Amino acid sequence: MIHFRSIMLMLSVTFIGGCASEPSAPAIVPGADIPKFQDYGDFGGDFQLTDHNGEVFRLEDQRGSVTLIFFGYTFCPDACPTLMSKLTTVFNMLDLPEEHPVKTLYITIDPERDSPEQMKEYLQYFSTIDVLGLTGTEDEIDDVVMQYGASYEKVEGGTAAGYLMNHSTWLYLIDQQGKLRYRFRHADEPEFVAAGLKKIFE
Amino acid sequence: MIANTMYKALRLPSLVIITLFLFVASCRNQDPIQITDAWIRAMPPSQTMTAGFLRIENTSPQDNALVAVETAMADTVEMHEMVYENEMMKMQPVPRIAIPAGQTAQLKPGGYHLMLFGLKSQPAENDSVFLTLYFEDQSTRIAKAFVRKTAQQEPKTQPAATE
Repeated sequence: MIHFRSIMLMLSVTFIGGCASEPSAPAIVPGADIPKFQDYGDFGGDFQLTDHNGEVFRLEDQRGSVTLIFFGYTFCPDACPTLMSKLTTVFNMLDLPEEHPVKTLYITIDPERDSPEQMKEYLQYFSTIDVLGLTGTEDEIDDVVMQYGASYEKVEGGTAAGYLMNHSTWLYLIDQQGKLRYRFRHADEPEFVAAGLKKIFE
Repeated sequence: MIANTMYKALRLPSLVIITLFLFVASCRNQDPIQITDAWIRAMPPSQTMTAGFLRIENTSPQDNALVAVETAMADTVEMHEMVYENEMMKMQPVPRIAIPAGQTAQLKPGGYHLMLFGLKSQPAENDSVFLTLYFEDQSTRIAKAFVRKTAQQEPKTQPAATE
């Protein structure tokens, strides 16, 4: 399904492409749709998990950095590599200066299979950007999932995999003060995500 | 007179050429099932599964479907679909992937794909893997799939199959 925003973006790309002689390197399209930051009330906030190096991770230690968070699992050779490749495109578009750090967090919803070592190997293999994998006990993960209004369900049987996980695909944008400012949808174009990151530094 | 001789002289070679052309043309169109862009996702060494992707074009007037896949490198191959619904991602096995007459089934990231479980070993990038594809019309094809980390640059708009 192509939603309205993508259509608008395509239209603006077509329009600008038609008359400008700017270099066509990836860049944020002027006039492209920009996320409208929202107040998510009680959703979001600090949490503590274990990172892929086995160290304690606290979101509150990230003050001053912008943070992107998504939920997934490494037993997924399809969607997650695709998302990471999309984020690579986003960061290439932005070319952020060092004083504008962005931390990307990948929280597993399958702690049974995703040990810190497993996550580290997977992320080092696929990621061309700096992504920190986070895992924990099932209860710890569930707390963060609920806190962020995410969801997942375990589907057992019917596959040689033993079980598969269905999970929400939101990409959360957290500002320098640790506040949730936006939830990107799976279908959002890299340009739109990049526009959100650019806006948060303004 | 001269024209007549030339006509005779040319007749044999042109017959040969026409026959050759027809032969080649018929070879080109012989298989109504065309498999292209087959690839397997390269995964980190400790993973025992991976995904496979390909395009299957059905140029025949009969509907067909992919019903099973096998490969020597994995214990089991399943056909899965990825569904995005209300911002939920669901991966689920499917019994068949339809390839209606004159259409192309695309197995690609984010949609239908193959899941290879119980890998004997994780294939390395640029290796190739043979897949045996079983179709609903009882026919079988072998596809050679290359091992890659990511999808090759996918054109934003896939040109309609004009061949």
